This record gives sequence, C-alpha cells and structure tokens, in this order.
Amino acid sequence: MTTFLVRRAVTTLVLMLGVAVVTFLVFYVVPAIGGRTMDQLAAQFASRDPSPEQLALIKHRLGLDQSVPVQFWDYLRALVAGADLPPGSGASHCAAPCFGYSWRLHESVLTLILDRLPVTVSIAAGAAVLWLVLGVGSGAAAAVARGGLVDRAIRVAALLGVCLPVVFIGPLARAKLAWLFPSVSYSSFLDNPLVWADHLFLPWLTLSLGYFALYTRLTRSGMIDALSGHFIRTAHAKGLPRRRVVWQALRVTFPAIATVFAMDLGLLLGGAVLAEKIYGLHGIGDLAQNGVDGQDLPVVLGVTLFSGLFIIAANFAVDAAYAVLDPRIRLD
Amino acid sequence: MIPRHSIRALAAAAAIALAATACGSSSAGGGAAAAGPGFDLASKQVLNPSTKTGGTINLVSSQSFDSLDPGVTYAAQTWNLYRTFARPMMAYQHTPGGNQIVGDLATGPGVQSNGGRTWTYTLRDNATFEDGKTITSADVRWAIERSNWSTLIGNGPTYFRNILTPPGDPKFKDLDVYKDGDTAFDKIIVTTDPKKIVFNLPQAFGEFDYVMTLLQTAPVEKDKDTGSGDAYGKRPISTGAYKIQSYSAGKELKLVRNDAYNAQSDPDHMHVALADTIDVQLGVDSAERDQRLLTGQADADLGSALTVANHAKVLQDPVLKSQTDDAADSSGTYASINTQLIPNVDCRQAIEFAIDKSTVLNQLGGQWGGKIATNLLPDSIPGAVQFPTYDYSAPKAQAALAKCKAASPTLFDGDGKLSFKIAAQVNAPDLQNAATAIQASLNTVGFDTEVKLYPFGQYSQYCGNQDYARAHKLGMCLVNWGPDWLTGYGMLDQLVTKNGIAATGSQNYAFLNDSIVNDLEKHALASAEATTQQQDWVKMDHRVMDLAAYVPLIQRHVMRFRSSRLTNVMIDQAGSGGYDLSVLGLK
Repeated sequence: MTTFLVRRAVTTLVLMLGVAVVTFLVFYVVPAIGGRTMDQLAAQFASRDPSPEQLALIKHRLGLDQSVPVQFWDYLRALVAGADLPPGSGASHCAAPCFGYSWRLHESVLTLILDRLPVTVSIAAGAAVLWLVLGVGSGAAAAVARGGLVDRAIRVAALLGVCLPVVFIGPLARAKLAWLFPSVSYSSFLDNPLVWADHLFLPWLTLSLGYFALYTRLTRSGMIDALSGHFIRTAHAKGLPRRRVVWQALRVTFPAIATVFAMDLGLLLGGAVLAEKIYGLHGIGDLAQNGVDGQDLPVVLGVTLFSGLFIIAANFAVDAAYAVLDPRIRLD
Repeated sequence: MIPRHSIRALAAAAAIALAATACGSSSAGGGAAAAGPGFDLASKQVLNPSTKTGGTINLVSSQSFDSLDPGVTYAAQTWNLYRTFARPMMAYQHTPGGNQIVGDLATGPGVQSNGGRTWTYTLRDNATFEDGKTITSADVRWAIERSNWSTLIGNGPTYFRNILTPPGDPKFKDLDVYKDGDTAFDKIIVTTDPKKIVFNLPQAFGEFDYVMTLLQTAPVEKDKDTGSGDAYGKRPISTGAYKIQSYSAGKELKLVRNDAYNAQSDPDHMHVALADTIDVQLGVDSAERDQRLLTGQADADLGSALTVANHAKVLQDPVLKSQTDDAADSSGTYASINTQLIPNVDCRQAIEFAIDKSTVLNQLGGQWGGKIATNLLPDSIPGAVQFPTYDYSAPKAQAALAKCKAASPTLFDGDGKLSFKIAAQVNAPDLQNAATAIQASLNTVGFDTEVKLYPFGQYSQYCGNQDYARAHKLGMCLVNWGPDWLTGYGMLDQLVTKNGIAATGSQNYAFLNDSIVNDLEKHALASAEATTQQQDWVKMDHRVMDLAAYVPLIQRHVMRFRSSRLTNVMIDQAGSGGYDLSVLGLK
C-alpha cells in the first residue's frame, strides 16, 4: 500500500506540472503564434485608451513584463512559498499555496475556487447518484429481460439519452419544466436539504440523461456476459434464489462501472461547464469559462490544476476500491 | 401537510418524461402574470410611483462587475448600481428620459471663474460616510487623486488626469500619491475649506461639471484606504442610501439600507432606499437571465438588453409586452472609414452612397433595434441636429468611385477595384450580419471587400492600431459607441479628434486628424456657454460627415424587461441609459 501511495504521489506531481506547462503554453504561445503581443493582452485590462505608461503598469501588475519561463517559475514558487503581489493586484501578499490572483476579479484564485466548489460538488454528486441508480438499475433490468419489451424500451431510452446533448436538454428542461421547478439556484445542503435538491434537480436531470445512457449500456453488456458465465449456471444449478444470482452477475460489472464512474465524477467535479452556464450556477465550470473568456490566466491555471487533481484523486479512489470490489486485485 | 418541495420531488419522475416530450406551457410565468403599466413607457413617465418601503429587489446581470472600486470601475451597469451606495459630486436628475445634471454631494454645478479655468463646488451639509464620519472636501480630493495618480490608474476613466495635470510637468508623470503624498496638488485641487473644493485647471474645460459626475468624485476616507489602494475595492465605504452587506466576486452583491445616511443632506432626493435590500446575481448566462426575468424570479437587469431570441416572445404576449421597454440608449452603431488607407474623400463618399442602411437596420434588430442614423450626434445629445447626408444611391456611389479612381488610381488593385476588409466583432452576430450586408452593398458598385472578425476585448488593438490597420487593409470597422456623458464632447472627442488616436488602442478607428475638427473641439471646450458649445459640436458633426470618415448606421434602441412589482420605474441617464436603480421600490 505504501509503495502504491508513494508512486501515486510522484505521478500526481509530474502530471500537475505537465498540466501547468501545457496551460501556460496554450495561453501564451499559441496566441503569440497568431500575432497577439503582450501589449495587446495587457490592453484588455486597461481603460478605453491606455497610455504607454498605463500599459507598462498593467504589464508589471500581471507579470507580463517577464518572459514566459520566468512567469512559470514565479507561479510554481508561489504555489509552494506564496508571493508578494505588485500594487493593483487586489492584495499585497498571497499566502501559500498561492494559485495566483484573478486578473479580472482581483481575488485569490484559491478563494474563488473554494467559494464555488460546493456548487459544483452539489451538482456532480446529485447527478451522479441519479445516473448511477437509474443507469445501473435500467441496465440490470434490460440484461435480465434481454430481448423483451423492457429491454428494448430501455435501449431506446438509452439511445435517446446519449443522442441529446446538454445544450439541448438544458434549455428545454428549463423552459418546459419551469412550472414544476421555477427556481434553479444553489443553497447550502445543511440549511435545507429539500430546498437544495429542489433547486438543483433540473441540472441533475440535464446532466444525468447522457450519463444514464452510458451506464445503462455498460451495465447491460457486462451483465449479459456475466449471466452466460459458468458460475451463474452453477449458482442456478445449486438452487440459489434468482435475486441472489442476479446480484452475483451485477457484482461482476462493478469494477468496470467504478472505473468509468470515477473518471466521469472527477471530470464533473472539475466543472460542469455547460450545465452551470445554462442554469446560471456559479460553480467551477462557470469560473473556468469566465476565466477563458476574460483571458484571466491565473483563474484558468487554477481551475485546470484543480480539475486535474480531482481526476487523479478519483482514479486513486477507484484503484483503492478495486481491492474491495475484486479481492483478486492487490494494490502493490 | 406535505411540504411543497416534497411534492416536487415526487413529481420528478414525471418530469423526466415531460422533458423529453417537450409539452407546451404558458409563456407567462408566476411573476409575469400581472400586466405592467404599458409597453415602452419607462423613458417617458415614472411607472408605478410609490413611497412604499420594504422587500428585496432582485437584480440580475449576465456580466460581472469590472471593479467595485469607485476610481477604477468603467462599466455603465456598474455605475448605475454604484449610484445606490455612493454619492458623486454631480449626478443625473431622476427624470424619465432625462439627462440633466444636478448637484448630488455638491450643492449645485460648479462656479466658473478665471476664464473657465477655476471651478468651485460647495459640499452639502452633514453628509456622512456609512461609519458616521462627516464628509469633507479632502475626502473628495483624495478620491480623485488616488484614482488618477497611483497604480490604480489604467482601468478607470482618466479625464481628471488628462484635464488637471499641468502639461509638461515631469513630477506628475510617475506620481503615486500612495507613496509620494499629494502635496503636488495643493494648488490644483484646493480644499482649505472643508466645505469647498476648488479646481484650478491649466486650460479651460467647459464640461467640467460632467467630469464631476464620474464615480471618481465619490468621497473616499483616506485612513480607510491603506496600502496601495488595492483593498478598498473589495469593500468600499458607502456614502449613499445603501451599503454593501456582502460581495462575492463574480457571483453576488447584497446591499442593505445604510442607516447612517442623512436624508437631510439630500434635499433633492437623489438617493432613496425604499427596498430593504437589493440582491444582485452576477454572471448569469443571458438565456437564463432572460428566463429569470420573464418568470418573475428577477426584477430587472443591471443594464443589458433582452436577447434577440426573446424579442418575439415578449412582443407577442400582451402581459410580457406591458413590462417591456424599447428605448433609445444614447449609443449608435457606426462604421469607420480608415482615412489613412482611403485618403481620397470621393472614395469615402462612394462608400457612404453605396450602403443601403435599411438592410443594415434589418440585421441590427429591425424597428426594435433602432432607427437609421444620418449623422453622428444622436437625438439624445443636447443641441444635436439630425441632417440629411448620403442617401443610398448606387449611381452616385459609382460616379464618386469613378472620380476617385481618376484622381487616385494607385488606391485600386489590378482588377480596377478598391479592395479592403470590413471588421466586426466575433461575439456580436448582429454586427457580423450588418458587416455582411455592407459588404454586399459595396461589392455591387465596384468595391472588393471581405468581412473579418476580431475578438471583442481586443477589438481596438486591431481596428485602433494604425500600423496593423494599414498592413491588413482594414478599411472599415463596425462598432457600437456610446459616450461617457451626453454631450458633443462625450460623443465625439474619442471618436473623431486627434485625442482618440494612439499608437495602439485608438478609439478613432477612422484615424481622422483634421485641423478644423480639432479646432472646433478646442473652441467648444474654451466656451462657458452651452449654446456655443452645442453649435460647435454640430459643426464638427457636419465636418466629419463632409469628410465621410464615418458611416452612421443606426441610433440604437435597447429592449429591456422590468418586473411588474417594481415601483418608480424610469429609464434615464441616472440609470446609465437603463432602469434607474437608485429610486426603485416594490409594490
């Protein structure tokens, strides 16, 4: 287990470094190839007609008067040791771990992310429960009733779900279900769980339809394979109740489902951009999109790193869960 | 009794089916069920006048605040909301459709002396900050200094810096009042009397009262503005009828009544706090923003228009229509003509004649998007005159083009055509469509044009960059333009004079540097008489149109939606051309 943890920690650091390098390159180098200069980038943070002195001040404030490698090094150093910020940044000091200060919102990126995290976690958790329960349940039912009416109905529903993108389902649900769920907003689960669920149900529904289709098909195919296995035939022959036999077949699909689930949940925790935008929810995805729109590099970097962390953490969790789900697997 | 939320939860399964079947529903939501006073009335009369207090006004915006620092913010919607919790020296009167300026923290307009170079303002008695401290002229002076001579500069307006800095004096170049102190201003902004503030300008500036409407004149307590001024914008101290309860950047702002506000210091009722609280949801996607407005979950937007997709919906529904306004917003859509790339005035006049503005208007929202403009100054500018210029005429365009070709054959390519690019913004489909309509008009009379798109935030870095525009043959740029204040200066200074030309980031996309235009502006600003100024602005308008440096396309109208439960609703300049938020209440 210790080896596993150490190996994972090292991999995580290398991956995070890679994510940061790629984000820097995408932000600076790619637009530069298209002809964008640092002056043009800085001018987006200025008033209508900035003088050269004003532009110089802004470039200094944003760190754009440094070369890209120096900026990258400063970013890494701030993550570990914190940093003093130039005047006009929004604060004089950013304590470690410093993910930078937003160029647009003049606020610590870590504060912004932590502020928006409960929204994204709420959306992701609710949607995940919905798609997992409905998807696995429907998939199991379809597999058991293979070839029958129920199977065909579920397969058609799954096909529909996978065909309808969030950008279609979201606005449609918002427009047509407003009478049932008039308000879509975030309130704390601890304040009132019913209000929390009521106000987030439409985003959950929107997100879960696509995933529902995937999990239905995944469970169905896994269970059909398992149901034709020798151990199931043996279980039947020994006279085990049908319910227990089906459960045994379903258990076989768990490692595959857990793997995909971890990836999906990790990605979603990094921000359900479309659902958050469509419903006006201020989660991490919304923050990321505003960061990209506003050329707000610290926000883009911070969200990207956090998203990467979520995916790595989810993978770690599923690897650890393998040992529980399938005793044949050893983590070392 | 089953809670309402549980009933909804039970209905969730049915909801899944309904989402797929997309059954119809009424267009009017809960809050929109009651009809409003009428369509497009808010710029003409006060709707639902009332003095009733209490409740929460729910505002929404698809954007975030650029800054909550009064010295840094430079966005109309932020200014509109800011006026609920800050008192600039001068402000716009609360009158439907009005643009008259009056004293807010000041007792009235400035008193001019010394040939228009000295302006004196008197502060109202007993005005206080939210912490109860009495406001003095030194607080106003500090507010102006910090936002114009410190590291805060760059994002906000720079009028004070441009007007008050003695020309050629090196000590002001890199002055930072946080580090260097502000004694350099002792003779420029005189505050020896705590009730009076005197500005000594190096040159006369006839519109100084308008400069005093900027939020940079809202007082700032120097001892609460420490460091380099960074922290102040996170929690500015109120001087208005509301104060900030909480602010989450990019998400939400909550305002509550400022108990320390002394209404006796506000005899003209510039600031009233009828509602107990104002909640502002920020950064909400425009489709979701519309949904909240039309279903009564939000009462008004901070300043933006309904999306075009919802225009038909509100206009076809009598209830929704009665809560809708389509008022002129004092801005226009223009196409600049690059006078450096196309120096021959006949060629530029050929462009003016060739453009069929009715097809352009159709692309910009038709009758609800505005009306066709013939010249630069819109109706809302005091003294503006609408005069005929270039009526659409393909034969006249061809004749002017032929004349130009004879005089300047080098402007034309090997095919005998005048070729250039027409710029529009990436995220503005209406402007893109208008550019395409212009392209079609021009190409039929002998031009060879192509539409090119540039990002919104960087637009002036391309269209306003002389070298880039010349090298890439950017002949025309489409732009929506609105002034910082409603005068000829506000409208024209950056658009058509040399002041709008910079190495990069020019606003004068035509790069027009005409001595007659520049002199007319100088003459207007040196005059103390409003009538004289207005005549000069009209002369400038005529001159620019004679030079065919811009094609005025439309005077814009903006379709906005208001909840029927709002009281004292009006559209005016105090609301930055949108709903005036400082006087709103609830039924």
